[in-house]
Amino acid sequence: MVPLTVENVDTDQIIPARFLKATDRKGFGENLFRDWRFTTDGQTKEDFPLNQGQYKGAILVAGNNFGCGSSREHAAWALADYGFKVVISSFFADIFKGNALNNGILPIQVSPEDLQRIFAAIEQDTSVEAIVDLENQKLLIDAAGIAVSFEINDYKKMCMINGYDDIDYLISQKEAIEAFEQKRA
Amino acid sequence: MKKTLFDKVWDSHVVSSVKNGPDILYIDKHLIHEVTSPQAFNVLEEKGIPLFRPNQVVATADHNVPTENQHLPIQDALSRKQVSQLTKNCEEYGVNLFGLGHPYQGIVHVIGPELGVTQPGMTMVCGDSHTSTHGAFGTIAFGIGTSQVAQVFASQCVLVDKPKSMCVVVSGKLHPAVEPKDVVLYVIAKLGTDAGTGYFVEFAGNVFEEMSMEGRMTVCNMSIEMGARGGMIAPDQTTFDYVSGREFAPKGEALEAKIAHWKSLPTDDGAAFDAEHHFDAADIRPMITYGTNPGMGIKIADKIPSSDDASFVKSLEYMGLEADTYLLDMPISHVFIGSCTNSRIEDFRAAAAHIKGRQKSPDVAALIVPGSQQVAKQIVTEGLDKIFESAGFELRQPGCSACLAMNDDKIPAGAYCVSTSNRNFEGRQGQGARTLLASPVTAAAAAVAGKIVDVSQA
Ligand code: SF4
Repeated sequence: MVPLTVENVDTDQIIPARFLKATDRKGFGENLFRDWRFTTDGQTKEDFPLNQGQYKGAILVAGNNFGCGSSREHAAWALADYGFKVVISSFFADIFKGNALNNGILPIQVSPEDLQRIFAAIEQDTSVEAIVDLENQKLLIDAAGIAVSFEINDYKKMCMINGYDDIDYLISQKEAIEAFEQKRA
Repeated sequence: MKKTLFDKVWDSHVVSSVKNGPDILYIDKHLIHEVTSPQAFNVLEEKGIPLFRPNQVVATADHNVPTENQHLPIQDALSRKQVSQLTKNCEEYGVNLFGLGHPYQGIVHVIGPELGVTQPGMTMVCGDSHTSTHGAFGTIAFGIGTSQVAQVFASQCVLVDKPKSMCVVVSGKLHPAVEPKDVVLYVIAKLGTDAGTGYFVEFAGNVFEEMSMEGRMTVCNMSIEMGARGGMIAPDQTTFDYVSGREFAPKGEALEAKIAHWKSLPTDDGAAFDAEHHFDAADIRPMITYGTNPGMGIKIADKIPSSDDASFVKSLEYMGLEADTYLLDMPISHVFIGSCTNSRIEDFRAAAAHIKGRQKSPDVAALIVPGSQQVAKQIVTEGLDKIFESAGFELRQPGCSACLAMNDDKIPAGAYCVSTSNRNFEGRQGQGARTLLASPVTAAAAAVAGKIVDVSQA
């Protein structure tokens, strides 16, 4: 787990606008949290958690209101490309949450108290492990004394587990959509 | 059953609902731009499927375009590629493009309303969070990610959970120096940047009823900054007058029929919201932000608050500011008047009224960037360009510009910029840049004085 205690992390921090000039969705991980990881002249900032070797794994634990700001899906692409599969926070911005789910990243919302407990557990032991059981919607972190359920709607869960995409579902509804258009005309 | 404006528009656009899941929401208008659409066109290509309803898509180039020499090829290779990719995609898929060089080109949220594409009672989406702007017309308009842009291309629908509804009421008499931007910065400062998460907001009360359409757009534009998916204001005569006669608006009898329908949209008396907030207009004064999210705002005459919260401390550190001090009279070096929040003709009229007969401070670089080619033209027609130029302001060509600093319009590291845009995030206007959000009048006044002033005390 990688801790990022800052609150209100906006998508401009996750991926700064100057990296949005690409026309495909590859390679954004390199510039994930660019201005927090590197100085303007490209030096690594040692105190940033992503640059500290002791934190590993595919779970990012972030402060309240993660992913606010712009709708850029590049933020989710950058997190996924870097290797994150789960983000835990006490609160997520709406658009980010949708973008994350559409890119195979599971946003798990926990209570503010549990979030602090997880941060404390990571501080105690940087290699602390978590079990994410999507099927049963459970998050287990023994070291932090955490065994909680998290919310995800059935439809999204089914999509994540089966690797389905909203677009295929919508295309399959074309007749209903055309009938709706007819009715309104 | 009594319904809110939001319920009426939403419910009439639901194709069907997925069991224990989201609604399939039909989208009337889909706006696209060069930055968040290329990967969505790629999806169509990969899947070998057509664009379902090209006539309901409108495209422009805005985020990444230069604001000088727009008649020349774009210098930056990546930007050039992105813009030309948009042109190619629009040609291939039959999308109406108001690209660079077109007399209708401009920031996507400025041109939609100005062309009459945006109309009351519609659902609209765009791969950009400030799509909320269009809510000023009583439209459900919200930003989507690129995967959803592809979904709308493929089906003219999105899969979304219906948000909860919130009502923000501001009533009473505004101080004459208070601008629509101050009203919305005040509301966000009071409620915080996550108060609206999960909600769609309706702004109600006499303050919004008395506002022009352009002011309403400024307010709805920033509803996303309180975390909401979008904001809305009930359509009324002001709305109908604004829409009538615009290029893509219905005309004649069709318009009359539409207006009759639009009149049925406002929230029914007694309809319930999931949350409500009330504010007294008389308490509002010109506002400015001091931190790195739009909720960190104060009345210009007030002190920066203090807190030992780590994120607050980090934010002030980035801004180079101290708690318990005043921003008033603090020198600044940059001013940006533009962005989809404040780049319409009324914004420039308000700025020009303050600037007229004055000179910009020699210590300030002041940039004026109109929201669209049509606004740029109007600036010249009204002679505002003369006022700006003789006062030493630099008038540029339309685009997002220093709002997100994707092009060359960047604020240098460490510099303070009073900006009429909507986000003061770290690095938003350039790496290390320090943004202070305010209204066009406050920005103009700061450019003239070379420091932060409170126009309500003039
Ligand atoms: S002006 Fe700024 S906020 Fe508006 S669409 Fe452009 S980049 Fe986004």
